[in-house]
Amino acid sequence: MKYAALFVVLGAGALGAQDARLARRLDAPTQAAVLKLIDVARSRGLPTEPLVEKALEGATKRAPREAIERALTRRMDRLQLSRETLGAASSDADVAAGATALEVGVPTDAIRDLRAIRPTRSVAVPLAVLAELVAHGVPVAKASQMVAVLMRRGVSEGQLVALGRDVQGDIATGASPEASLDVRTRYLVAMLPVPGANNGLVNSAIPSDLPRKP
Amino acid sequence: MAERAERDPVIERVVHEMRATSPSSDATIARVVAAAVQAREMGVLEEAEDVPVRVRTPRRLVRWRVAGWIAAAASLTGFAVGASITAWRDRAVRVVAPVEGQSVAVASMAAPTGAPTGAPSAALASNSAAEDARVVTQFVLARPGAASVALVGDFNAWDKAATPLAQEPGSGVWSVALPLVPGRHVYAFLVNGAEWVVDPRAPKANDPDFGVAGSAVVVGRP
Repeated sequence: MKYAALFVVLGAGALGAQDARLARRLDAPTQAAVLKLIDVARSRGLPTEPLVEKALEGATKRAPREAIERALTRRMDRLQLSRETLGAASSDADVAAGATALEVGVPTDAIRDLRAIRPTRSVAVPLAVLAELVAHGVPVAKASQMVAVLMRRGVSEGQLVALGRDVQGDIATGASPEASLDVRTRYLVAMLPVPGANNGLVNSAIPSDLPRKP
Repeated sequence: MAERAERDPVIERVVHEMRATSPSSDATIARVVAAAVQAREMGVLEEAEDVPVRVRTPRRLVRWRVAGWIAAAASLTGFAVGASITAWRDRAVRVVAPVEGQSVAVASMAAPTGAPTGAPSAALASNSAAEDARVVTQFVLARPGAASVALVGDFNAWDKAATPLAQEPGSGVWSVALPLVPGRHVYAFLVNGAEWVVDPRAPKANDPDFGVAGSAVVVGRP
């Protein structure tokens, strides 16, 4: 009973905070339309915060109600597909990251692969790095493969983020996105500990699961 | 009474969840609270005075015996809790100072510093406290002559007033550091309250929904 009351309190609190933000920033018709969509999302068990954020983004960008409604509907559809792909037990952060990856063109198979590599841990950062790589011109198959390889090798989130930043820096200076990712990934893999070893050694050879140069 | 409170499963759960947060959380919370107090004294947070800060405990709620009262009161109290949590987050963002030891450089941009901080509500609100561990991230924009620069993004509800940047005196370099949840974030700068400026050193984030591109930053734990 106590837990039920606590959950009611926290749930109502989150709802109240969302409503307050929307009420401050949206006109009444837009707010009503947004709340209706949020109710639909909630009834489907989807995270609602990404929808609130999108609505507030639209408000800041002075978008008309129709544009905000369309944006929320699209985001809700992607959240739904993301959750179906990642699994019902996935965290809200993972579901939101999956939705963003879908938005830039990452296929569900690639998202499912990352979840399979990390069935119980968050994949929000790997999905975010993958989405950024694809958004900036790395072919989706190549980017998905490389991120998956690195995850299997135990790459840290910080290393993945740095990889994405390095590739984007290379692209900005004129490098081919694909070639940059190849070069950067090979270096990173070489710096990672040898799987199964506990002696501080690093990989000295190109791993067999990385594509080799022709 | 104290002994009974110690055995209360709800309180024990809260204590357990709070202990599960990162070791730096206590220090972080203390630092944020101290800064918030200081900011309040300086009048920085006066616009948030209407936010209710007194929160009933769940333990008191469960003593109410009339079911209808429980539902109604829970909604009202929940609103207060949510508003307080929102206020806490807003305050934390507003009072966060550039990370000690970081140099402010024109060339730097949203750079994860690897200094995780804890969000006081995260342990209770999330299935995994570790997933909510935040990473302090710095945003810098060189804009000589600007009267004000603010940061808007998905991390602050795109609120123009939430995250003002501070200018390094006389330099035209504006910066702010704030804790972000790991993942991808989209943001932009607002110069003089109206001019939308993407971060010139960050990847562009297209906006097919509203047609106003921003910048993207991916944040991850070290």
